[in-house]
Formats: sequence, C-alpha cells, structure tokens
Amino acid sequence: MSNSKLLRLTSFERFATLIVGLSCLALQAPMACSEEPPAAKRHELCQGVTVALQQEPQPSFVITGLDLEQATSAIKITVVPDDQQRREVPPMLGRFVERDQSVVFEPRFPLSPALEYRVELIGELANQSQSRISPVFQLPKPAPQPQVYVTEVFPSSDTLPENLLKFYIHFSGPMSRGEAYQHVRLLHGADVVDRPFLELGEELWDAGQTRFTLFIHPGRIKRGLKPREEDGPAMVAGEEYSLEIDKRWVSADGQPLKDSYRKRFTVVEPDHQQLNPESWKIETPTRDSRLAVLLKFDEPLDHAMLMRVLSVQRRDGSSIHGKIQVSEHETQWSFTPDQDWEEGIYEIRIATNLEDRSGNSVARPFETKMQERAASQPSTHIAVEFIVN
Amino acid sequence: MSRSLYHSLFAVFGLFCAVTLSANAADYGLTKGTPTLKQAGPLAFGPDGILFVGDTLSAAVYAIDTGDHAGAAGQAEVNIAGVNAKIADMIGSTVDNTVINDMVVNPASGNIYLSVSRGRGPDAQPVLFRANQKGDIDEVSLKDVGFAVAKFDNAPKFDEGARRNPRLSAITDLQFNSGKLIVAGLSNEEFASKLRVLNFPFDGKEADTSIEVYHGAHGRLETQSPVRTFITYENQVLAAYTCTPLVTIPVDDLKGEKIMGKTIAELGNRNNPLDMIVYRKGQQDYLLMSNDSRGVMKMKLSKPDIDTADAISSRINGTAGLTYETMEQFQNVVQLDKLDSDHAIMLVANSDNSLDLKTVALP
Repeated sequence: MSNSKLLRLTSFERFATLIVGLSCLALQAPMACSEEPPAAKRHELCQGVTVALQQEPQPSFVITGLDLEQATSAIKITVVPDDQQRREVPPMLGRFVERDQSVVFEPRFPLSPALEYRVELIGELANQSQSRISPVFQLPKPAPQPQVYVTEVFPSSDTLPENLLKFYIHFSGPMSRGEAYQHVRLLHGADVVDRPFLELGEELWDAGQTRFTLFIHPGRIKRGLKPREEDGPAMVAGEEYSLEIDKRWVSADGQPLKDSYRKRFTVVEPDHQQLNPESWKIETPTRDSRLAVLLKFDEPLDHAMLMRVLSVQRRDGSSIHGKIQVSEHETQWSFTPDQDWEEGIYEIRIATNLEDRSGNSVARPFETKMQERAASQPSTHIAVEFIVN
Repeated sequence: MSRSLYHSLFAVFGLFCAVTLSANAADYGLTKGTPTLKQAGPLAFGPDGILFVGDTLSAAVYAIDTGDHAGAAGQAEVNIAGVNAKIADMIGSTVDNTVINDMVVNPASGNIYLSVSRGRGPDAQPVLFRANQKGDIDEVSLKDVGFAVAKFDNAPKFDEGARRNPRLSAITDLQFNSGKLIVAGLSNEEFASKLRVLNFPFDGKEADTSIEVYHGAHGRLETQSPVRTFITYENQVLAAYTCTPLVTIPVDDLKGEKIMGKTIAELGNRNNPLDMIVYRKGQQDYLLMSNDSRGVMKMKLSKPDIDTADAISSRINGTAGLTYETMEQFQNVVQLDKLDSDHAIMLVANSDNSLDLKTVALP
C-alpha cells in the first residue's frame, strides 16, 4: 500500500469519525466518539457504533458509540454454535462495564481460540439501522502443543492374574475427560472382550488428568455374582490378551494421541491371597551414606499405592525425607533419603490398605469368607523396622 | 469505579437470592463469601434451599445458601429441549465441552439445579445453573452467598516430599437425611467403598462406614464395591451397587464402624444404575431407578417389606429379591429427580448428544 493511499484512507476515516459523531449525537451518547480507538481491529455494527475484540489483559469486546445502558440493551454477543442449524442462540453470560470512556463486555468465562463469537445489534437500535453487520471474532490460535502419548501402563508385567482389578494408564500430558471407555478395549486374540471394564461416568483421573484408573468390572471378578456367572470372567488363565488404547482419545487441548498403545500379556491363575509382609525381604543401607533402603516383595503390588502409602520414619515418629522408586515390575520398593543416614533404628510404615494387583490387601483378601471374617478391625498400619549402623 | 449491568435478564433473581441469605446463614452456621469450587459434581438439597455440592477435586462438600425457598413448588411442567446446548451457548462453549454432572430439584421452590463442567480438561470450570418453572435458565451466582465447606480427611498422611498426591476420591452421590449428609465415594486407587456421614450444620465430625455386602453364593462377603447411587427411605439407605444388587443399610448404623448391608434385590447383569427417586402414589411407595442399559425400573417399596425381606443368600437365577417392572416409556434417562408429588423431572439423552429436560407424570 502506498503512502498516498494510506493518507487517503486516513482522510476517509476522519470523515467517518465525523459521521459517527453525528450519529452518536442522534443516539444521545456523546462518549467515545472522539476517542482514539484501541489497537484491536474495529468493526462497525451500524453507523456510529463499533466493536473490537481486545485481547489484553483479558479478551473482551470494546464497544464505542453507545453508552452503558444502550449497549446493555442493544448488543448481543453469542458464541457461533458448532451446529449451524440450531435455533436462536442465547447471549453469552458476561457483563457490560464502562472503562476508559468505552463500554466493555467482559465475558463471564474466558473466550476460547477454538470458537467464533458474533456481535450483533438487537432491539430498537437494530430496527432503526438501515444497514448493519454482525461481525464474527476469533482469538488467534495458539501454536499447537506436542501430541500427548501413553507413557506407561501399570501393572507393568506381561503376566497378569485372572482376577486383575485395575490398570493405571499414564499419559505425557493432560487428557480430556468423558470419552475414556470409548477408547480402551480388552482384546482376546482378535476378539474384543464384551464389557470388561467398570464404566463410571465420573472417570477416575488424578487431578492433572495425566493418569487414568481403569477398573476391571468387579462383577466379572467376584465369585458368586451375576455378571461373572452369566458372562464368565473378563480374562481366563492361560490365554493371551491385550489392552488397546486408541489414538483417537483426545488430550485436554483437543488433539488425538500421538500413537495408539497396546499392552500384550498372558493371564495366569487368580490371586486370592492376602498380602504376607513376613515374606518380604529388606536390604538396609549403611550410615553416612545415601544408599536406598529396599523392600522386596514376593509378588507385584499396586504401583500407585506403593508410591503413596509407604513412608520412612525414625523410631520417634519423625519423618525422613527422600525419594521413592518402584521397580522390577512392582516387586521392589526403594527409598533414597535426601540426607545421609544416621546410625539408628528406623521403620518403614505401611498402610494396611496396600493392595496387590487383585485388590488383596495387607488387611484382608479381596473376597473374604464369612466364617473367616476378622472379629476386630485390623490396624491401619504395620511397621517394618530396620537398623542403620 | 465502573458501573455494571448484567447481560442476563435473570440476574435479578440472583440479587434477590443474595438479599435473603442471612436467616439461613445464622441457622446453619454459614458464612458470607464466595466459595471457590474446583468442581461442581453431585448435588443434593438440604433444608431451606441449602444446596450441597460435591467437589471431588477439593475433597469437599460445599453447603450453599441459594436463597431459593420462596417459590411455589410443583405448579408447572418444565420442558427444555437441548438444555446442554443452551448452557453451552451461555458459557461460550460447545456442546461437546459442556458436561452436565448432576441435576436436582429444590423441593422448597420447584426450581431445577444443574451442576456443569465447562471443559473436559483438568482446568474445566465449575458452574451451577438453575432452570425455573417457566423454563428460563440462568447461572447460580456464588458471589457473596452464605456457605460452609466440609473438607474430607483424605489428605496424604505420609511425607511425600514435593511429589503431588494423585489419589482422589470421586464423590459419586450425596443425600441429605434428618440433619445428616451422606456421601458416597470411590477412590482412584484402592477399591474400598465408604459411606461418609457428616452432620449438618457441619461440625468437623465425619463418620466413615465401610459397608460389607453379602453376595449370596459360596458364603462370601465382599466389601470393596462402590455405591453407584443411593437414596434414603424410612431411615434406610437404599444403595445400588455397580454390580447391580440393591442393598439396604439403616442410616442409624452409619457410625464409623464396618456394618453389613442387606441385599434385597439383584437387578440384572450388564447394567449400571444411574439415579433413583422414591415417591408415593395413592397409598403405595415406589422406587424409580434409571439405568444405563436396563431402562427405568419401578419397584414397590414398603417399610415392612424391607424390614422383613430376606437377605439374598443363595444362588440366584435371573433377577431376584424384590421385583421390579421396566418402564418402557422412559428411555435414555441419565438424571432423575422428583419435581412434585405427581411429577418427575428427567434429563434424557438423545442420539445427537443433546440433552432434554422433561417433566413426566410419576408412573
């Protein structure tokens, strides 16, 4: 564009400003007309009334040519629905405020770069206006984020008990809630196992939505229940299965996963045994070192609970800070202190709700025969003592 | 200083609500302020328009004075087609990113309350909406309301350094009964299921009761089963489990120790119960329960029947225990509540992902 053309346009805009000023007088709203417009691109709704989408500090719509009352009754701001055939769209929630001699519409919720928003005149002003337009605005789309992928699935072993209770699926980034069960399948060879999972509308995520807990339907596990009696267990010992995670599962930013994921495993006999801490082995560190204290289990335990329900403390109950690691297909737990070990007696404190992969805990097996039911409440914790010297 | 006017015509209603909160605030130990919910999940109404909101991400239940206790309950039919689309428009979002988590009727006014998530990611925003008997929808403002919060004692007990605790206990249902709020939940780690009982007004005390359910065959017990949905009836909790038994538990027994529930019906395989209500028609009480694959079930209820029903304890063929009939006229009902003595309000899912609020005569 040449300078002269630019100048000509500028002259035209000055002329337009004069018209706008006259129009505003007619509307008895003398504000804003002579003000410098903000940097955002302005659109004329009708003669003398403009709107711009301002991005900072929060995305909002700046209206000139109307006062607060007029804007409140004459401006309708709507989201452009994804379904274009839909009926009349109600206005977005928000409020009009006066700011810097303009009227600003502050949406109740942040605008989304994925959506378009329409601003239109309504009511008497719309009826009076000979020519009016309803501009559509959209925030610039942010640069796409790297696609999320499945990082780990626990239990990590490729042999799993017939009465496996749950999988933990870990993702590299936050995922979207609401479609989980459409994108996970249990396959027996090439056949899809029918309804093997406990499908909960709440979907069991962690707060960051990077870990999803997928329960096998307890009705397919527990003996004597109708789902198992009628459909059999979800998995049968001796057979090969795979857990398939479909890449069409979308992350929180709406992108599909980078890749599908498949965990293949062989199913072995069910595990109905309560955990037996007496069969665990401990490896103790030496003083003045930061070597880890190790617990080795006689079976794989629940990964999430190993990370959460075991802690190390001195005999007086004071905590030791350090780092927990779970390895060897969840049969080994280690704790590396932040500071050197001092000589003394320590204990690993373990909540008795610690479970194995089949929901058997330190406190009780997953299923308990009535006659074997403990008369008293089991304690909430056990302690494994060790000496550093 | 800015003057402001709300964009919505119904905001006047919200202002009216704010004015009327003081009486409840005094009665129920509420303080005035703006509760900062992280999530708006299951809902239940207590006395005098007090709305309980389950917030899984905060591990808490909020009691919020809606100020909405002056309406004429049950005089109108509410029918709103595409209610999720209307809410999506109002919150500036898409239908796909607008999730209705729960729906309840305020018995004090007949207005319908919806808990909504704006978005599906971890930063989804909680919003509460109210549909009045004219079918108008507006946001329930939480600014400067009377409220109280009960935080659950499930913060990590162990030293975990800087590591974030990924354990959450999803709140799956709430019910208020005679001064007590009963809360069902399910952990995303261990498979324990507990009913929590909180006194209201909240007094910081909480009784967590593990319910053991006798499952009949083979003389076995099972404790680790999440309650999917429940309701109280004649001082009994009627709880529907994910593996389909219907269980009764005396409310007075929820004192923090393990107790035994009584299985009074098995509701069939391949089914998840979703929501339930109890109502009276003529001289008979009924339970109406929506399910994900077995439609809406209607079951006769009576205190003597429940008291004398034998716990199901032997091999069962088909459904067993108390009997039910399937209401073929109701399909795809995802939420259910009693609107008045003769009507229920249903949230019905359509094949195009739209949701309709429909008033139906109680069957």
